[in-house]
Amino acid sequence: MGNTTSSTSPSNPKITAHDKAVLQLKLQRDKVFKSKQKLEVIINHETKLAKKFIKSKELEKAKLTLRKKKRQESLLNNLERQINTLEELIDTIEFKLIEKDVLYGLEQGNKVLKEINNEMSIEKIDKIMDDTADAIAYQNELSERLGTQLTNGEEDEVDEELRLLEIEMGVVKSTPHVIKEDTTKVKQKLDSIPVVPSNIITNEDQEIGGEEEEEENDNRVSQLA
Amino acid sequence: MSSGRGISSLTSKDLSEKYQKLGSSVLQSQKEHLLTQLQVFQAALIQFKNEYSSEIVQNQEVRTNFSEICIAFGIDPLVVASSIIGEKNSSTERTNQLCLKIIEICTQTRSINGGIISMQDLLDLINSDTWVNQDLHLAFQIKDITTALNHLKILGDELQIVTLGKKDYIKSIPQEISSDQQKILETSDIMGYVTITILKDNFKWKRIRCQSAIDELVSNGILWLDKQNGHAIKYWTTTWINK
Amino acid sequence: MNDIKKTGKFEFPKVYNFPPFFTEQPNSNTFQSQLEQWKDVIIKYCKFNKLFALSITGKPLESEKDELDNYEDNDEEIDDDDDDDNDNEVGNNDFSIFKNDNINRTVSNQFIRKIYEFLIESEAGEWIDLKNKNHGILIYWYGIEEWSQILYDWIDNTGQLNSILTIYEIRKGNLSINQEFYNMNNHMLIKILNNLVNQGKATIMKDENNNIVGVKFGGV
Repeated sequence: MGNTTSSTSPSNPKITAHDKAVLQLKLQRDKVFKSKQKLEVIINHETKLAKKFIKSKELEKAKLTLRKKKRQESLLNNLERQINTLEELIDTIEFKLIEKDVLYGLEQGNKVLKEINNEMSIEKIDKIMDDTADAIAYQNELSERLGTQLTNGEEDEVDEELRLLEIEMGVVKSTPHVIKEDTTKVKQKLDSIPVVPSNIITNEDQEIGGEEEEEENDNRVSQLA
Repeated sequence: MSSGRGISSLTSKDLSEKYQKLGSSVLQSQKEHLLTQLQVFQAALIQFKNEYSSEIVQNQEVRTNFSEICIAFGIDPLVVASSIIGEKNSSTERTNQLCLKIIEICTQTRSINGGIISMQDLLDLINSDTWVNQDLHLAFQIKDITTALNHLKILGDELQIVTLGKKDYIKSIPQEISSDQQKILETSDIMGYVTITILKDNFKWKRIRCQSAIDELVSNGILWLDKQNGHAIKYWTTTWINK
Repeated sequence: MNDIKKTGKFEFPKVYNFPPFFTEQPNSNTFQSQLEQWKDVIIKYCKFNKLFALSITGKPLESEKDELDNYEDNDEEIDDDDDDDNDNEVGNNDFSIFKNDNINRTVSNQFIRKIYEFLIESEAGEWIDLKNKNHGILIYWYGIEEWSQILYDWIDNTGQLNSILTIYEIRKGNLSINQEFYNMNNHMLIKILNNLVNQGKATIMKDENNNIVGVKFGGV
C-alpha cells in the first residue's frame, strides 16, 4: 500500500547480534590469514638465506636456518588448520541463519494458509450458497412476473431476441448475482431459467398469474428484510 | 533499531544532499536519453543525405535547409558537403568545409602548440577525424589544404603558411614571427629542441638576443620549456610530440 | 600476496616521451592542457596497473603491504648480492610515474603538487589524509558513485546481500580476486562504503578502536 512512498527513504540494513558474532569470527580469520601470509614471506626468505649459506660453505648456519624454517612451516600448517576451522564455523553459522530464515518463511506460509482456510469455513460457504439460491429464485419470479404482463407474441419476440443474442455472444454469461465460488451449481440452475417462464405462459397462461403475484410479493419482502 | 538513522535523516543538510543526488541522477539519465535520440537523428540525416544527394545539391533551398539542420544536430557540414561528389558545386563546397575544419583544428590545438602547426600534423589530424576517415573514406592531401587556405585569404590573413627551412607550417595567431624566431623554430626542428648555447654558437648572437626571442616563443606557447636540475634549459618544438 | 604480474606493459601516450612534458609550462593555456594530459596519463596508467593510490612522489601505494614490506626491507642487505631471480618488486618500488628514465626526466615536487591538486579539482583524486598530504593521493579511475555501483552489484550478484563481510575480505578475499576492486586501497574502500551507507544500502561495523572493519549490505 504505502510501499512506494516508504521505499524512497532508504533504511540501512540492521545489525543483529548474530551479525556481530559472525564479524568477530571473520575478523579472527582475517588476522590468522595475515599472520599466515607473513609467515610465508619469512619462510621464503629463510630458504634464500639457506641457499646463500650453502653457497658460501657455511653449512652449520645453513642447517640452523633450515631448522628454523622447518619450525615455521609446522606453524604455518597450524595456522592453515585454524583458518579452516574458522571458515567452517562461519559457514555453519551462515547456513544455520539461512535455515532459520527458511523456517520462519515456512511458519509464515503456514499461518497464512490457516487464515485462508478459516475464511473459507463450511458455514460461510453454505450461507453464500443460500444467498445465491435466493437470488436465483428472486430472478426467477421476476421473470415470471414480467412474463405475465407480456402478450404471447411479445414473449415470442423476447425469446427470439434472447436466442439471437445467445448466438451473437456464443454462450450465455452468468447473471451478476452469482458468486463465483460455486459456479457449477449456479450454472445448473441458470440453465433452467429461460425454459421455465415460457413453459408456464404457453401452457397455463393467466390462471396462475394472480396467485404467483401474491407469492412473489411475499418473497420480495422477505428478501428485502 | 534504526531510530538514530531516522532522526539524522531529518537534518536538512542531509536531506538537501539527497535531493541533490536525486536531481543529478535524474539529469544524468535525461542527458543519456537525449544523447541517444541525437544519435538516432544524426543517423537519420545521414541516411537522408545518401538518398537525396542530387536533390540537395541542385536545389539551393533544400541544401540550405538541410545543412542548417545538420549543423543543429552537430553533424560536420564537411561530411555533408564532401560526400556529394560529382556535382559542379561540390568541389568548392568541399573546400569551404575543409577550411572550417582547418580553422577548427588550429583552434583546438592552440593550447598545445601555441598556434603554429606543421602542415603534416594538420593533415594527419584532419584525416584521422573519424567522420572523414571512417564514414567517408576520404584522405585529403597537402594540395587540398593549400587550396583551402587560398580561399581563406579572402577573409583576411588570419591563417598563414609559414615556411621554415624545408617545412611548411600554418600559423593561426596574429603575432608576427620575427626572422630570429623563424631561425629558432627552424633549428629546433632538427633535434627537437634548442638551447641558448646552440643559438649562440650557430648564429653568433648575443645571449640577450637569443633569450628574448626564445622567451617570447615560450610565453606564446610555441616552444615548450624543459628544465631539469643540473642541465641546461632546453626549448622544444611541439612538432616533436609525435616522434 | 603475489600481485598478478601485468600482462603486457602499459603504453604511455606519445606526450609522455616529450621531455618538456615534465616541466611546468609558463604559458597558462599550454599549462592547462598539460594538466589535462597528465590527468589522462595518470588515470589510464593506474587503471591499467590496478593502482588505487600514489605517493606524494608518484610511486604506487599499497596500504596493506606495509608490515610485509618492513620484513623485506630489514633483510635487504643480506640478500642483495646474490639475488638474481624474482625480486622485481624491489625494482618496481622505485618506479614513479613522474620519472621517465627513457628520456631522463623528472617532474619537480612543486609541479607534482599542482597536478594532484588538478586531479582533486576534477574529482579524479582525493588526498588520503587532508591534514597530511604527504600520505599520498587516491586515484579514482572510476568515480565514487561508479565504484559504489560496481561494488553493490557484485555483492548482489554473488548473493552476499545481508551477509557480514570484513573490509579485508572485500579487498583480498578469494571471491573478489577477479574483481576490479581487488586489492583496493583501504581508505578508498571506506569512502565508497560510506557513500553506500548514505544511500541506505549498507551499514558499517566498527571494532573497539573505532576502526571500520566490517559491513553489511542490504536490499533497497
